[in-house]
Amino acid sequence: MGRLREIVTLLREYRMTALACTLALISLWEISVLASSRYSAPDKSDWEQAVSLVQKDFKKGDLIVFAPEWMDPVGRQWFGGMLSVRDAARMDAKRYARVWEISTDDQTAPDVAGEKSVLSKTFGEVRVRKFERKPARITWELRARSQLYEVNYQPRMCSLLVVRLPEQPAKLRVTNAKLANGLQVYAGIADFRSRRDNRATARLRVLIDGKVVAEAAIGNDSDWFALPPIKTKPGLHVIEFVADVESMKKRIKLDVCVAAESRNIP
Amino acid sequence: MSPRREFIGDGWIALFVFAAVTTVTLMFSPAQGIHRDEAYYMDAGEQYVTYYEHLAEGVLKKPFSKKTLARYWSYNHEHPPFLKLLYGTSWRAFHECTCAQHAREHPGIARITKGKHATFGLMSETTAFRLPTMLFFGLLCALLYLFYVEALGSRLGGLIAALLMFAQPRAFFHAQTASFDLPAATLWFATMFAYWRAIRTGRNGAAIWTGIIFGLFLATKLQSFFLPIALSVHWVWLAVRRRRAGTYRQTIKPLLAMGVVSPMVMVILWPWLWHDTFSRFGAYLGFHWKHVHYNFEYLGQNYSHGPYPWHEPLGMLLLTAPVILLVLAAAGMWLFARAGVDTIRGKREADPRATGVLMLLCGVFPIMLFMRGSVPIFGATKHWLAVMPYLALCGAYAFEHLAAGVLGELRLRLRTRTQSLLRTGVLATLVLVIAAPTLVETFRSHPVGLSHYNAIAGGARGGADLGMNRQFWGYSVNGALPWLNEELPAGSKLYLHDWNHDAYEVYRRELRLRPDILDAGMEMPGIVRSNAAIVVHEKHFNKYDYMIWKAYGHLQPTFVLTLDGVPLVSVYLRDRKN
Repeated sequence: MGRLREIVTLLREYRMTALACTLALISLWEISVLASSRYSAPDKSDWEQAVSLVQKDFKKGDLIVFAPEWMDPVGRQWFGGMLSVRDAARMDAKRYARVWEISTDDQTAPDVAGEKSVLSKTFGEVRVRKFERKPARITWELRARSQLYEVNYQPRMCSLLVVRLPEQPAKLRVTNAKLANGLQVYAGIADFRSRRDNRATARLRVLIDGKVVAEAAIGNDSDWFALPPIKTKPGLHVIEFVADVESMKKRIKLDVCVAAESRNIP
Repeated sequence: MSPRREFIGDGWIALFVFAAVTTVTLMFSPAQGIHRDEAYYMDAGEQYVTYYEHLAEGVLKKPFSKKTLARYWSYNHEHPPFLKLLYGTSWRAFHECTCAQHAREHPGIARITKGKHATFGLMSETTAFRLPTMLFFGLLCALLYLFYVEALGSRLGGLIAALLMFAQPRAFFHAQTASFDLPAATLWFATMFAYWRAIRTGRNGAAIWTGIIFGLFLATKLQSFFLPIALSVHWVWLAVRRRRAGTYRQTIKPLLAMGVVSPMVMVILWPWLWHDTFSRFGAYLGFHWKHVHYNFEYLGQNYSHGPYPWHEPLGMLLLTAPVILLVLAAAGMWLFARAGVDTIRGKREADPRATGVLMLLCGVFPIMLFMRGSVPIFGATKHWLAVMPYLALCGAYAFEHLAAGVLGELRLRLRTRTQSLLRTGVLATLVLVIAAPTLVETFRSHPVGLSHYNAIAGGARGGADLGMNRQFWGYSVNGALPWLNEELPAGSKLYLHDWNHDAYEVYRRELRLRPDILDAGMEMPGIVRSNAAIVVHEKHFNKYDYMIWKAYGHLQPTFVLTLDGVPLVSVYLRDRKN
């Protein structure tokens, strides 16, 4: 107690000196954080070792993902030879049996969040993890009618439903779609310029054999929206995607982009 | 020492500060890329200075006719001309001339097809264009020193204020560009300084100087329109206080001069306004009133129109300014506030010019404008750069108090030689404590200052994690030039993306880019024509990666320019080498 009182008295007497010491600590911390930011960036050798490991065990159909997300261009520089545009612009990662996650700063890619890796190796600042899982079996997909678009600042292979007038819905009809017991649909507004100009919200309806099975409001802030999984009867069906204006303020520039896969829902 | 001799001493110190800041900035400048707006202002500067050159040579038949003036002054008339004219003048005087060899890359009316411009030939074209901004940066730091000495009476404080102004990553970036933001901050402060002096002396000369300086500001950038509001509020504050205390009578002359002299200065400097004055001035205001909203990423969200988060300017300030500056400035503001409260309570003699109130108004007003949620925010920190000198002043004030406190506690007076040495050592250590991190932040950010984030953010990587704006203006392409020159096949058609054509031309004529590398054109047709393509990374520009993937059939960039591992620029080759 007496010692504590002594310290308090001393601090009172040398208050400004204590503040100056605190400032010196802040100064050191500031410099060390900047140095850490610089030296936690992977170097060429880190990347080369990581590429070498993945190349040894990479199989056709594997997916490579990067974390943090902003590292993507550097990741593609090193691993782009093993990654197709279709894989990068995937609807989601459910169809992949093996996923390689390349990360720095101990970050985790959303596609493998919560999963347990079967392999984890670190090369300097780069960590390589391999995930193996039971893939979804795809019986039908909209990819054949899709193109590459930017949705929510991400690449997506999807089909565009262009809505410009309230009374003119956009439709996409697919016949003879071989469905499993489930259908997964994603949608979002394509192109940042459309989102900048658009002030309306679209209503997206999914119809199977003429019957509405799912519906969602898709607007500028919908990101890449996953509609609730739809249970379907296995077999050949007619699927329609219909987009029209749900609510409108001033300008309508709804470039609704849709992706869909039929797969088994457990 | 007599007051006169002290004043001369301060003048020399201010001159040293000015020279040191300008020289260091000049040394660093060549490594920094040319941004989009700079390229336009360089173009405009060449045209504007050519008008005066042709006028002096007597080659213009009707030099003041509407048609003649439009030929030289219609380009980029959405911005006032003062700085562009200075850029042009500096270029005309100092550049190493190869203009005839690259005639097609100069604006039509400024072209020469043979011979050389008679110049001092001291520097590259880009550096010559940029020199006036660097001089303004030196001037700002020198003015901070002089203001501090005059208002708060300490040379050490004044020097610290100059240091804290110089060592700011974003200000340092803007000081190396041929654009208006740093000069606007300088003129904001210079006008305030002149007004503050003029209300003390009450002399006509001081008031007219205030009017002239503000006129230069009006002829520089739109922010100038807001300064009279801050100064008028201060003037009213003084008037109300005078009425209550009956102790001091301030003059209104500087404000009158700002209303009369300044517009004249602006019109004299802006020949575009010599015809159809009111409609053209109205068009200038209208352009900015309805200014388009560009894209800007803040905390993970891309904003392309309002409403914006009210805290965006504060967030940007908190994550980009050196932490030591923020800490000291906060402490300085608290000290000023405490002194203000003491004055109100009568415990302290009132400052007849209410300098603290003036600093508060002029320091807060520029950033407050951007907290309304409707003013476009695409300029990151540049549109309210005028706040930074006031933070530097507050920081210096806190430092001075701290230094005095520490020396007092350690009982280091100037009685003995040892004490004197120890005192110098303690002061030097304290200066080092604040100089080291601010200088590290600043020099670490160079030459990509717009991608730099401070220690609170966690550096550039932390800024990327937080989803902060990566960059803008397409200037960072400069870092990819050596690679492009080395690796691109002869006659390559390059998709330039956000690197604008005017900047590309300046690089070509300075031989910083191989002359056989051609601009493939804009958007998708340009990408389709190209065999190499650039993407400058900003969140909303991701689309251009995908457009290139589509055209090239692969997604693998061959070169990626990074800052601490954070991607700034990607270069794709149609036939990839990887």
